[in-house]
Amino acid sequence: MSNFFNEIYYFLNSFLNYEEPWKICLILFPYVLIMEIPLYSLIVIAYLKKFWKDVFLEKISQNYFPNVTCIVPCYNEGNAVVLTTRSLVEQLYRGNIEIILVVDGSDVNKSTYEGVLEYAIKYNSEFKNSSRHIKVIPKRQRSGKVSSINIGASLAKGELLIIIDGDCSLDNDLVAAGVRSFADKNVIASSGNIRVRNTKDSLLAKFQAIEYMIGLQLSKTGLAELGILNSISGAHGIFRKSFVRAIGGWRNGSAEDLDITIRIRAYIKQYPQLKIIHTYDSTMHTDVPTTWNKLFKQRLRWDGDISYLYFKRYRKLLRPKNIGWKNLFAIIWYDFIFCLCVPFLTTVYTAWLFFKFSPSFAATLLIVVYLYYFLSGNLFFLLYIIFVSERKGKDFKFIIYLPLMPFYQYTMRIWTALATIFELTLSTHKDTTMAPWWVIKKTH
Amino acid sequence: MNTVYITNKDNPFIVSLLKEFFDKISVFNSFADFSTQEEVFDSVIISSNFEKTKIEDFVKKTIRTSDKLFIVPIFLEDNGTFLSHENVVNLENIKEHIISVKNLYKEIEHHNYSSWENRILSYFYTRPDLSVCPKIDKNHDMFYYYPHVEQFYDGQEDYFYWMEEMATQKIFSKVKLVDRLFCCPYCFSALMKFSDHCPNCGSINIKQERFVHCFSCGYVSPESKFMKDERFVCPSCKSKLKLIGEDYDRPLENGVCMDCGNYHIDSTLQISCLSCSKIFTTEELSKKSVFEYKLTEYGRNQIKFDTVSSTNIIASELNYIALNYFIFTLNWSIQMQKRYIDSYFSLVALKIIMETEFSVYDLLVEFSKLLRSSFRTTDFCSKIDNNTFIFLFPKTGATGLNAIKTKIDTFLGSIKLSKGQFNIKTEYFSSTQENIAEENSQQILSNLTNKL
Repeated sequence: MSNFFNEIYYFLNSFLNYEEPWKICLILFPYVLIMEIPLYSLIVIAYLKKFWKDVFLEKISQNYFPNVTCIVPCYNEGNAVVLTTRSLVEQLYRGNIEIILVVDGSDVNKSTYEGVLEYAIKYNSEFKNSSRHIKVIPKRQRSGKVSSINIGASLAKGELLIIIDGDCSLDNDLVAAGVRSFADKNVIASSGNIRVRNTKDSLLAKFQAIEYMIGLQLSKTGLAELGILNSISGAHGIFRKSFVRAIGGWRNGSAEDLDITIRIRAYIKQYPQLKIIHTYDSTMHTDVPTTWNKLFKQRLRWDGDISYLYFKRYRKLLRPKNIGWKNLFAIIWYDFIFCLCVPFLTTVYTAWLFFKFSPSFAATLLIVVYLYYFLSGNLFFLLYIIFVSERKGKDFKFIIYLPLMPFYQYTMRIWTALATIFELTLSTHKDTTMAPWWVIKKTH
Repeated sequence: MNTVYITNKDNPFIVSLLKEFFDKISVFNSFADFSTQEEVFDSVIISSNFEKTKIEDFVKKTIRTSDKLFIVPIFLEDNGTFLSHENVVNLENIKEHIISVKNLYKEIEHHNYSSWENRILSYFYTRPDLSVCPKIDKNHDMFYYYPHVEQFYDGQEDYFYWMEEMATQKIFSKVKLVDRLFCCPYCFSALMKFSDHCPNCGSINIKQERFVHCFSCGYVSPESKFMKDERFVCPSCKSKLKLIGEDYDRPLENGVCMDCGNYHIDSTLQISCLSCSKIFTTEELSKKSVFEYKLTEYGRNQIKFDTVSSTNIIASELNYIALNYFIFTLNWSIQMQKRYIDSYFSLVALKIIMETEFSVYDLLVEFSKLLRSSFRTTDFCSKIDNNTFIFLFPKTGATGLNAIKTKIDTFLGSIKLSKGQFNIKTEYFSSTQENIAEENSQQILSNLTNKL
């Protein structure tokens, strides 16, 4: 056993003392150097550019207060929807906010329906002159989240639509911050920041909180700045109503958020002046899975949805003439290679290491890989804390979990690879709970 | 049967119709014409062609105030149909009704109709089936009025109060609670204006403001104090408050005065009476119930024998017996005293002197409570006239009588009314075998009441 560790020590020393370490890295970790580091660098540069513009150059109009409609598709969230609604009426936004709560399958989900109805009646009567007004729309027969959002969009009176999940809480400046960028008439959609609410529940929730900070918040800001934002989250997205209506709203099936983002990107090819952005200071808080089992199920759906949309539904759309070279390149690089292929490479590479080399050499390489992810993770985390976080003190406390993050990331990558295989072989997107089977079976 | 038909239009058909039913019909073309004649009629029929207000004015000022005419049934003729407040709707019933009123009126044993109260009580006596129903009227101070009573009421006192008093005396029974209203404690009007004021300076320029509670430092203040560049920033610890339930909460909603800046939980609710212009608070509000009334059998007897008086409250809930029974019982007590030395009895005679009945009604109620506290179930009371009461206390000697005397004197000493407005004169008698040796009940009662 001591020989094993002695060998690891020897290999590590050799790596560090090698005259040109990047050469050996290129040999041993080519996809990291070719794919990951350039992408990360680009995102960071784009983010810093955005930060520079926001702070020093562009002054966004402070006199834009359009009517806003918040659509909350609800199913069986129970009392959690009341909390979501409460944080919506709490918004400090100066304009009017119409809150549309669409209860899917209200005959079955009576407690959710009756709970929100009671709250809405009480609020509307107590605050008659308030600039917030709550409407509850019951859908007696269940027909899925997409139909709930589309119904909300068709009834909406606001100029902007904010789609919010029914089991979250919102910062009181979510609307004000989210709306601000829409003063530019060319902005047609924006994704918002999502934070993890239940971080105290488990270590897994803490890992996901860090993942949301770096992976979602930081990278989405950078990708949006580069004009290649890949997804506007279905849990928190802002849209210009006229544009949504013009493109026919959301489409049935799972991953409706990714779906509408791909279609918007296609429209941007036709109308290059249009923009989708990421509003990092429009924040909502959501609960994440607290057990590995639940997390794997969630990611199976998410990762499966990516491959379903790219390989199946929009296979023909993903051509330069439809979405442009830049978007195609971004999709291939980020969504296809980085999100789908790298997990495969990581899995195969790990197996290859142990097959090809001695266990001590393979373990040494894995330590180097760990160190790389640990250092890069720390770097991103610090960038996030310095430039993005609005709760710096609270977020900084997560630094103690960073040493464990590479293990979490590694596990999730392997799972992404499996999710892709499942989707391509078993069409797992049809197992979604977002809509009933009689709706999903009609989607293609 | 002598009937009047007052109409401002020639209507030979109605006149001939009425002639078929009544022995004599006198037709007048105006209220003024009618007012000049002095004949006594059994009923009055008025054409609906006259203005409603003029008809009401005529009925109230000419008919119901007249000693001779106040009791007559009045009908409103409208294209051959006859309307009345008195549950009589067709011409066949009218005749019967008029005869009934006339006969019942003859039963009443007094002829002093100078007060509107006496007139209306006789009116109700002659209409045994009539309920005194309130009607809603937004122009009325109480939102309700009693159409029958308004025909007689002279406007000097609150007739709701009088009706309540009649119910207390059991002259009327309360058939149904129609409504319950908050009203002015000074004039009992229900026409009031409510407004909320700053408890500090009294200004009406106040508004509700929601408060924010910072979880970081515990600071609580109005929302406006936290607002900075459209965000909540705690003025105390400078924390950014973004998420309700995690960073901050809403502990309460308070009022803030825009004039003096005072923060308050409850503003002061002030009420101004639109009728008397007095200002008061909710604690001072009076509550008034509106009932449907009906004359009781007891009330009918009181009216018939002219014994209705507000002083009846004195005897309410005591063993009240008719005077002849009282004299009979007194005679029996005298005989017992004559035979057995320890069979004492005592008598108290009371005379109530007052200028107006309404203003001292509460005092009478208080006084009746005092008597009730001294009264035993074996004691009796009766009335000699409207204001004179006599009480018999069997088995009560001079010592017991002195205790009653002390209570009554203490009560009279506590009354703070101007002299002459209200007074109760009392005379006391305690029996011994000596002082009744030569007496009978009539003599004892005469001696007592003459001293009052």
